[in-house]
Amino acid sequence: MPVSEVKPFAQTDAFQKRLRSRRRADSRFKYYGVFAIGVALCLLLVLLISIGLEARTAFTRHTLSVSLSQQDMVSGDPYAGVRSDLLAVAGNPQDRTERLLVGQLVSPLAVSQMTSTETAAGVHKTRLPISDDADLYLKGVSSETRKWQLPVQRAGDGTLTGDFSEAVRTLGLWRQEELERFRRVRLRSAEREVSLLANQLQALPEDDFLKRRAEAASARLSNLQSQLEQMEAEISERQIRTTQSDPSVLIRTGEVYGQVTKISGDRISYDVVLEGLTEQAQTQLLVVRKPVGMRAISDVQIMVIEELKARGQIGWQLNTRLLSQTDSSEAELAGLLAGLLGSVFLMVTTMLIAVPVGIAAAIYLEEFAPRNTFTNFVQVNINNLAAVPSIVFGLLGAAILVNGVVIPLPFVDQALTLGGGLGRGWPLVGGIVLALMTLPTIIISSRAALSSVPNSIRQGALAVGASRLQMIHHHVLPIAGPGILTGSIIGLAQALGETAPLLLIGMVAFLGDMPTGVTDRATALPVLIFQWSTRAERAWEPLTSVAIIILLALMLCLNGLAVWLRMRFDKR
Amino acid sequence: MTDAILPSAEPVFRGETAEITRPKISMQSVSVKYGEKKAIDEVNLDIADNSVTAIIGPSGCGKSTVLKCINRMNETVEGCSVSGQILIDDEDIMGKDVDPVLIRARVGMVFQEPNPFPKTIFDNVAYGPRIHGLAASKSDIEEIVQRSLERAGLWDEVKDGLHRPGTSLSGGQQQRLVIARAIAVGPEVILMDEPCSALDPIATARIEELIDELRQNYCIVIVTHSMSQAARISQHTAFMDRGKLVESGTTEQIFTRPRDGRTHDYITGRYG
Repeated sequence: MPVSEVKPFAQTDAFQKRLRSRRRADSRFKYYGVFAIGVALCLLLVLLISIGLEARTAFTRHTLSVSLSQQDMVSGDPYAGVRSDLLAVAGNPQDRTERLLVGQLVSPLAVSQMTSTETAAGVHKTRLPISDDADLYLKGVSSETRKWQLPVQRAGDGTLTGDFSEAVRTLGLWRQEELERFRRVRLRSAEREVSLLANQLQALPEDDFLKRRAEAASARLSNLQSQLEQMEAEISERQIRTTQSDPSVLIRTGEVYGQVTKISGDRISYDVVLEGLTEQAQTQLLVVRKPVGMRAISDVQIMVIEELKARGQIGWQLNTRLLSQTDSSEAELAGLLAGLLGSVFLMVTTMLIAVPVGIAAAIYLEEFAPRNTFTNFVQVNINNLAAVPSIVFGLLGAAILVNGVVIPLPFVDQALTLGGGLGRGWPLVGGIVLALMTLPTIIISSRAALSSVPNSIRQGALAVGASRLQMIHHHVLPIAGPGILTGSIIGLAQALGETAPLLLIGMVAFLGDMPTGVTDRATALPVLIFQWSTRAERAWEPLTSVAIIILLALMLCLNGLAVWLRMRFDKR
Repeated sequence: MTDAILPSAEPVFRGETAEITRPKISMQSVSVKYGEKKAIDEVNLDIADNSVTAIIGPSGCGKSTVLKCINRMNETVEGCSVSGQILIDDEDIMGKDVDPVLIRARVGMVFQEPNPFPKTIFDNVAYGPRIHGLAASKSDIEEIVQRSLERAGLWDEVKDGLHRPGTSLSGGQQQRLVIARAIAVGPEVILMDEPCSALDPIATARIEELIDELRQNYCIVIVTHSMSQAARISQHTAFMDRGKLVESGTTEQIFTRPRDGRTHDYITGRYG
């Protein structure tokens, strides 16, 4: 081949192809990164939005205004006064269960914590936090509800006539939706089971057990099908029944509150539940979608709440209790101040121990320590310590600080106790444990910051005759400072969110009192979140989310402080 | 007139050719080991006052190590051990009761890379006098800073911006700032470790001129890679090879009549 026909290598097709694939690989790599960041941001956003949505109902709470007489106040049982007020609003029902349910709208605990003002002679007015279930109902969390004001005529047989088509349509719609769900979930799964068993039966035709199961399954299926047919028939009949698994239809008419038992066409029949209420000209129909068996608030309670609301006794306010009160067994009374205070005590103890010790250790290891087997050993162990699960530190704290290690001495009938003596649940103990846990983080990040200081600065300082301490103090620390601070604050933020070790040293108790210092029983915010999340009532869910938001805000503040300090130092 | 101060191709020897009668620094059989590795071996070298002594030699021959012995900077390197005797004004600086901090106040040092502190120009120069308590009042400090910057030939360029950070200056200016920082402590000896290797030719010429001026008041020891620089600025030259001092003498003698074959090969560019 003549030389002129040999292309320069950059123009060969193979080279161009390689170049193109290299560029593609480059941009692919870039997009992987963008994708990863995008996924992380989306997840974070989903987390924040879901917590925010969950928490939004807990920022306010409903209150009940009541007036108490002088006698109620001095009797030592003001709750009895509140209860009799509520019963009066409900028309003094005679049924024991009903009286009990009405009384539960305000907890005795809430009454015992109330503050009242005397408005007129002998009349004390106060606003009480209403029970958590009533509060959730008022916020529309318990169930979807609809209300109609309707003109009605009274028929002779105790029924009412009027235009109930709106209500009937709504109920029909809900029932239709329920039917769909029934068909989609229960019927479909029953069908699948039947077909699966039929297939198995084909393979093993003389298996008795399988045969029986198949028969049972098909019986269940036909049962469900007939249920469905019945439900479909009821829709077309445009009538409702009231069972535990149907929406409640409540009616307020004249001086009674009742449960509607049947709507057919323009006729409605109902059972009276509460009577002797204040006379009302208008008739009101209230439909509560969630069946009574599936919600925490009963029909009677809903009636009384609606009565109280109509009388203007229900108000709402910002949930300031959250930041001003300690924990409580009643969700409407609970606050997280004790946890917040506990966390502050913890952080102060942790900071006072971990930051100076950590920074001193880092300076020694980085600037003074000779590189030998011992310092290598120390360094490896610090790195290992950073990877130890936090609960192990909790065990260590419980064993050494709280209980003490008991060593039986040989030959003498005595035992030697090492450590111990500190109380369970003290922030001092928690602070020491968290400090131990935070130390490796602080040491590692401080060492990284120190080793990033250029050696030429150290040499320059030594060369003008600075001592080693002056070199570190005047030149190395000012440069490494922001890095050390950031590392320390991130270490502290990590400690702030720690739960497991605190459980082990007993900072998990239910606290009715505020902690007064580092040697008083306390709990911490993350522990409180853990406790609240395990409580059964629905109202604890939004409260837990609020507590999480407060914890996140605290962490954000700490990290913001780190960023701000870093920027301030970098400007210098 | 930059042409006049640019390095010329032909070496022009400056200064006297007399032998050293009363050395400022005297190194007697100095050996340095880094761990097991010997860096310099039995070096005997006399260095004259008020003159520039250049130490030349191929890379890794121990030039910088010799330099760092004089202000005991070697001690800050881990695993380094020094033996032998080093005298400044007939006073042993290696003694156990001698504080290296005091030695470093008497022996200033300038490094290869300009290393001003990340502080203002003023604080850079004032740092040394402050830690040694050389100034009683604020005006004393200001006077020292001005005098040092003037001596380093930097005053006119920075007098209006003494509170700018030292790191905002150009490379050549930074190197002169570092020289001013060294001067401010009032040293007797200034050590320079390849002070121009990171600078452009014009900045190099400026520093060389400065070194020539400074030799009136100080004993200067400079390590350099550039033989033409050694020839231009020094009065005495020491040639080292593989940790050993091959020969030393006046610059003129080393460059024109080297006694050793290795020196001859090195300065003629056949070796190194």
